[in-house]
Amino acid sequence: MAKIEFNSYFETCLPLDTHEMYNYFIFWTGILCLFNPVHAQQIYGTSGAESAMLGGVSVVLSNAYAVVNNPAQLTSLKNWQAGLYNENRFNQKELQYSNFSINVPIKYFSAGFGINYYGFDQFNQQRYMLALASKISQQFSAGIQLNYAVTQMGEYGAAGTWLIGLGLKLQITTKLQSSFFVFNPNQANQKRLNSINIPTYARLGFKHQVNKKVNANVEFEQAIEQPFILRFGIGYDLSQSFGLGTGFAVNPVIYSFGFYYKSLRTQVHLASQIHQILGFTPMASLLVPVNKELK
Amino acid sequence: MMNKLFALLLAFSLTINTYAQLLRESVESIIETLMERRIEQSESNLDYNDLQAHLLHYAENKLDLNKVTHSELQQLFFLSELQIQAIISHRNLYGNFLSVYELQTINALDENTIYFLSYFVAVDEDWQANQTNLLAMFKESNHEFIWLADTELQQRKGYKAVDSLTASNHYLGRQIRQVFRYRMSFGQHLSIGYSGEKDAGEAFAFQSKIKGFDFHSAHVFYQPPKGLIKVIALGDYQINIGQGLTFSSGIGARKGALVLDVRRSNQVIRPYRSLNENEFLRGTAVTFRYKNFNGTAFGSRKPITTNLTLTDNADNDTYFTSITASGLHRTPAELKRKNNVLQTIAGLQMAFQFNKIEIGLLRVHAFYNQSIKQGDAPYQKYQFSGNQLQHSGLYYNYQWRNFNSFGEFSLNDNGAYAFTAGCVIALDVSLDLICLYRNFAKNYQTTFANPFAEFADVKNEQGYYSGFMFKLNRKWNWNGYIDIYQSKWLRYLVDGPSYGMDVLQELHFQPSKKTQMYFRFKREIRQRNQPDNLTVSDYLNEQIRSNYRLHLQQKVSILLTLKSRIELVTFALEGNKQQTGVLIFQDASWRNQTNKFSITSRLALFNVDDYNARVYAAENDVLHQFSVPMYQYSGVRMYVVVRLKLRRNLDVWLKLSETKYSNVNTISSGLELINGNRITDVRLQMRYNF
Repeated sequence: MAKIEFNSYFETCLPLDTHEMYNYFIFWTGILCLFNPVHAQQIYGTSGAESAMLGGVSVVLSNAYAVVNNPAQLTSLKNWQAGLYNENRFNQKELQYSNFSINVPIKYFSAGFGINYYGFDQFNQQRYMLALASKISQQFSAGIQLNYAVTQMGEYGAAGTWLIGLGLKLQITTKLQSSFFVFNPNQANQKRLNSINIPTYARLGFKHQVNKKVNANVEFEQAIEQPFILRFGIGYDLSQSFGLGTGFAVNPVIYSFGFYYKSLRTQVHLASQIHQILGFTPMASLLVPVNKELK
Repeated sequence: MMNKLFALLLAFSLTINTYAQLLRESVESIIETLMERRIEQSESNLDYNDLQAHLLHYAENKLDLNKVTHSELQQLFFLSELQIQAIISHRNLYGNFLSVYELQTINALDENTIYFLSYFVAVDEDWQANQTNLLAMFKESNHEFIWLADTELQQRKGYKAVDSLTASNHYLGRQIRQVFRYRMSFGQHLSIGYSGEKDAGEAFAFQSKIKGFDFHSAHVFYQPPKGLIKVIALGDYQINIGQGLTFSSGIGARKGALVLDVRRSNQVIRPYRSLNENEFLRGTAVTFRYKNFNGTAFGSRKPITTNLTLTDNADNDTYFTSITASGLHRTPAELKRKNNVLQTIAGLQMAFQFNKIEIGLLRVHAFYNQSIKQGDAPYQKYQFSGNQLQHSGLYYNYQWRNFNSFGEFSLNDNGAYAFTAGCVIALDVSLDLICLYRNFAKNYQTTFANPFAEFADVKNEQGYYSGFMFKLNRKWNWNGYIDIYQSKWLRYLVDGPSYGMDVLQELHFQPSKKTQMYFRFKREIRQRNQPDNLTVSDYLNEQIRSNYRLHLQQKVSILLTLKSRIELVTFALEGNKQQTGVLIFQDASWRNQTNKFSITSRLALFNVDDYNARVYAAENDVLHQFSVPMYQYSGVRMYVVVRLKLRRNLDVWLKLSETKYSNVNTISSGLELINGNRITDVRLQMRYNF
């Protein structure tokens, strides 16, 4: 069996030259990532490079990825939007996480659909999301997210579970917004695969539009039996089309940086995160209008 | 001048009335907010039900702004001294209030305070009282009947089938708590009430020690509008004198976000409306008035539950070491101890008012028909032993413009003393300061005392408290306090002289009438024995508990209010890993246009490493109930409270709550044990009033 080229610092830890051992490593790395408190089981985490750029702040962001991050934010989108997001965790293509999201504004509410995929052939997870949100008043929106999550673990088979998420968005003043999102409050689990715990978490975030160009974002996250996470991100519009953002998170410490290009026909975000120990993760996302311009 | 004022008032009324109608919250919600700001955190719900009953009484029987006294306003603890002075001065200067909205012409009152105040005051609310005799009061009184049932869906160990081995160790009654209340009231002048309670596990029967409900409380309270007798109370009542140092069975202020709420109010006799089975007196109390003189005599005789034990000596004497405060009589053993000691208390108080100065004297005797005996541990050396206790007190209150000074000196018959003295200064419309010094001797002993203090036992404490409230501008307020204290003698789990310090800082932001946010930081430093130490003798170490809270409250619309909170608690002890507790919750309250239906719900997620990092958060409940659950372990708590006005006189409340833990397989221990990781509570209450 051919030796695998493996350009990472993990290579030095692996005196391996067999495909089975390589798969073994990838398998256990995937499992370890399930317990990584920052990206606890990525399919249950956040989507969009804009979020990644801002230190992981996601709950206050309004784009198609709100299907994943906080369905209540969908009510801010006036037109159809579709998004494609990809990240290579620690630059390992085998630890790839992808998302496709689309939102559909309808007269009295907004709907969205999303798919998350994470892993490789020996271990992978998919999450299918249907989101519905409604603008209850000028200031306040609420949304619900219905999920079906499937975990495939090689010879152990597959297990699927229904999950829910609930989101709120509150426009406190013209410049200040707060959002709340709770995922899996009933603490559902994949019963067939006892080792796979599905996280239950709540996020509370604030977004302050400091001026026309600068926005500051802060988010608090608490997942059950996980450390408390604080995220902070600043976005800066260099011009009407270009901008950049940076942020950090604690528990564990992560630094992020990214930039974006916006036009009426597309939005591209590129971001990277540096984990203290595990290294660099590149992220990219694309947003396109389905029928009209991006608003 | 009066015309201008009237025109101004009319304009205010037109605009504010509309606003007030639109955004008015329920009384329960307002009381919950106020109480949470006052109590900060709780170790017990009992005291707070009393506090809630007190506020509810004022909400249902509003104080008349044209007759309200300084001390009555003091009982609305969210008012500062300057604000009280401003209300009284305004009335003296401009005559009677025409409407509650006239409060808005008083500079010292901000929008928030007026909003809270509007729930407890009115104009000419009981105008007829002065002209009404007792018989007419009876005829025109309001009547209220309340029935409450509360149960858990998971069976606790104590309710499981009894076998011969456990026959003496099980609960006698069903797993349901029931309360019945009746109240008749006429403003502040007349109150007659009865309350009966059976806790979960207690039997509802008619046997030797069980007479229907396990606990009964009744009162008759009458405040004649005129005459020599100012107040008369029969049955269960509370006494609150001076700064609560010599004797006070009422509500005591503690350190909280209302930093100026340190001084005691002076309503000496108060009817007892709560269900705490200890914190009241039973008998008669009367206050007389004559010109500037007030005198109160009170007597109480009631059985109390203690851990009465036989001595080892040949005389078979009995003694007790502590009073059982829980009020629970569920097992044969608990029932056997019920009401096993008789407590008798008699007291006399006299107060003189000269212009701005009030001076009072107090003498109290307490007797028990059994002796209290303390253990041999060094920290118990100065605790009360014997069967009678006498103490005397002298208190004062002095008001001069925006300066208020207050204090109390108390002396035991054993020669031990205690004193407390403080002052509140309103330096400016935007700045209030408070300072308080207290010094309680290590051998000072009391029966009922509730002064401002760090420790509940009112002894062995010396401390200095200083706080401020600073209105930075219309949108920003800054409150804070620091309290430094020390104990010169030992305490439980503190084997040496110790010190401590509490600091609180709160920044309050109100960008609009609909939105309130605050960030609060609190740090408590206290010395305790170092646990698990390897030395021969214990030594003290500092434990530091820090609390960070960010809270947002938004009135989204006429009908919908949202609250969000994140709270982080850290606990650090030298040589041990820092413990952390986090709580995130989201509340939503909605009511319909006619206010016949309302629903309040919460979803809270918590992750707490250890008991020392526990988090508290007050939650909405059915009327007359107040709960501050403690969040420990990890999990999710949800609740829904529904209120339905079925008919004009009939209200129904239903509360469903569930806590599901992720990291425990059993909840509680002993007879309270639940096998499982979830606990579901159902509470139903009905109220009929006419």
